[in-house]
Amino acid sequence: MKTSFLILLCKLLRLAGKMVGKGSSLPGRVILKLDPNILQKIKLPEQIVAVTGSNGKTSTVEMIAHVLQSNGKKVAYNKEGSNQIEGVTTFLLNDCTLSGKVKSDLILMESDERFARHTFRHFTPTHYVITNLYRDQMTRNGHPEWVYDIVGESIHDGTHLVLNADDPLVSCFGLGRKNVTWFGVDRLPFSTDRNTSLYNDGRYCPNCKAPMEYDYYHYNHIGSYHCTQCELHRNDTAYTVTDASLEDSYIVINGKYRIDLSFSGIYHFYNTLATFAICNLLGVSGEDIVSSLNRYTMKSGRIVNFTAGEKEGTLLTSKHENSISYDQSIRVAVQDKRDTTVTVIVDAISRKYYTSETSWLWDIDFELLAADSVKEIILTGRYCNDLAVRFSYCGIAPEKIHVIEDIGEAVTYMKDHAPGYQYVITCFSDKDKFLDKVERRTEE
Amino acid sequence: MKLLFLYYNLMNLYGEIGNMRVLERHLRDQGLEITIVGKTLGDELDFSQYDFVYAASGTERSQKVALRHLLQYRDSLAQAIERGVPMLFTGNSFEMLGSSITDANGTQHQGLGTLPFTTTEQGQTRYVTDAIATCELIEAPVVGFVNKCSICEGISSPLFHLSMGCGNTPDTQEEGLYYRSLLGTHLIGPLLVKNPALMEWMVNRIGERQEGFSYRPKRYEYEEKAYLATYTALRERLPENKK
Repeated sequence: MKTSFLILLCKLLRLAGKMVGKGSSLPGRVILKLDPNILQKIKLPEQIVAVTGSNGKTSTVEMIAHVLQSNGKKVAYNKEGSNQIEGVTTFLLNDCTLSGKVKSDLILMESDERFARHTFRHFTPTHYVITNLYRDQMTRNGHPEWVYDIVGESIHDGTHLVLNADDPLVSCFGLGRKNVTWFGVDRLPFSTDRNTSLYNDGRYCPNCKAPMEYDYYHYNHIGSYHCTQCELHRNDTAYTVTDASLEDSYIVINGKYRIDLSFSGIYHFYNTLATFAICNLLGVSGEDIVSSLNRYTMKSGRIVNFTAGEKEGTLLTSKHENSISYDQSIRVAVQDKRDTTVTVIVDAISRKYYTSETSWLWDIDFELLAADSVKEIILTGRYCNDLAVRFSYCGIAPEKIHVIEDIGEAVTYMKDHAPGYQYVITCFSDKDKFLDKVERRTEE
Repeated sequence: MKLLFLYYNLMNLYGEIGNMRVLERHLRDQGLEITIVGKTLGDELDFSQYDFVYAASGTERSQKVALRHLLQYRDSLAQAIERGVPMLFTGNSFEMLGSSITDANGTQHQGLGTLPFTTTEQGQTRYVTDAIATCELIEAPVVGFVNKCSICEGISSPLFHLSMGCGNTPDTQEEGLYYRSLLGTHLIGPLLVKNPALMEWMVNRIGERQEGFSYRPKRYEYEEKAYLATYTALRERLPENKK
């Protein structure tokens, strides 16, 4: 079938889909049925940037797009997060002229770890940013080394890798490879000598399984490490956070580029650093990146401020089945020294597939919520009892913990009784079940 | 009593530390004095010292290094198994007990040879599924989760019969292995936390090793409710219960 016809068809399907509120993967799916090799027949721009990793893909891609666009580049990217082959096909064909040329200067893709190998059969990224590999949705992903092997299949020899030097598993992609740019965070006041998480996936070298040694940790297995047997070690970084403050929400890159962040957190430092690194490699000056990223507010709305009755609060969107994203939210809640109530909701473990798998609750550092500032804890949703079992091992007084299966009743309890500022920690899959019952104020 | 958590910092992939934390409390609730001993790569092992042995899931690569280490102590382990020391091997740790594990590259790794079965891994897809199972040890159905890339062939004494989930091979409903007081299964979740009845069974097997032990019934409200929530949700998904 003629390529120009398929491009037109894709655009029409996308337009029709938008009118009825359908997602962006369907047009691509239809076109791929008609011509599985369509992506090899269109003319792509010279620069193709892919971003993958367990956490932070969407935020990083959004920031990269923002920096590039505000510096005059025309960027095609899958902003709707449709990061599987069908969604990528839709967004690329949608950006094509009918003669089959992608109009943008650059393609930017958030790439699903598991599907990159299929997507990159059709075209090869010039730059590949890999943020981190953690325990993430293991019901889909198996485990981090399994994902490592799959991502590895999607890396081509000619692609320039932009890697997180502080993640030992990600660093393995750079072993024996020259075209790599490393980014990382120096030892800073919040770094620790010991691993403080409930598990340590950096205990053994991902390359040879000998014990690893760390000079310091930032969180989980992220830090400065070297293997006691093989050559794996934290590489020297070309892009480095040399100073930062969690309290004052800023980072300084390479000793001179200070970026003020509208949201604090070590995880966000890494996303911002990765953005800086790739945009600078693509030719945007450090000064221009700083002015684009200063006080930039994310559009992806992970943080929602709300009012419940007379109570003010913040919902921190996390990912079920991803202990590090929960740890991240918990740290935000306990950094707040006011009196707080923390609510955790686990109702549907995934919105994409059904599972009752709750083993990940044992990997989350809920123990941090034993902090004095946390006055009460509300556990709600279908799996509130699994949460209650887990919380009975956190060193938190049982009378502080309220287990209320029905989310509506939990909200009523919050409005009537919960002391202090409210933090709600839950997943995309469950957050609207809460937000629909309170008043949303702002999203960050 | 001394409980061994084998490869606690290497084979701990699916929240299985929960099994040990909850088991420890339940045993203490029975008035037993409990010490948990963690051993890992590089440590010497003597299985004659323990009243219970637990090993959990790891990545395929971690499992191979654990196996290489454990091979040095296979006789000590085999003797403890024969003496009937209660043991639980969840996830791919129980694969080590067979005669061999063939990895996705086709390399065959020698197993402990405790029981005559073989394991074959493949690198393309994983068997990932919720599970409901029954066994002869307890009346209540067991719930759990399977996340593996291997098949086990030649197991003559399986532990579970599945009504949902993936068995030792994809075409069978027989899952895991049961030999003397050793339980091996790919059900994770963590198994003992998710299944109060199985926990009670295990507490009894360990407790009985102490003279004069008699089980004091105790309710664990949240664990029982969590079990029911999961079992109810899973049962609704069985083909015969779907409208």
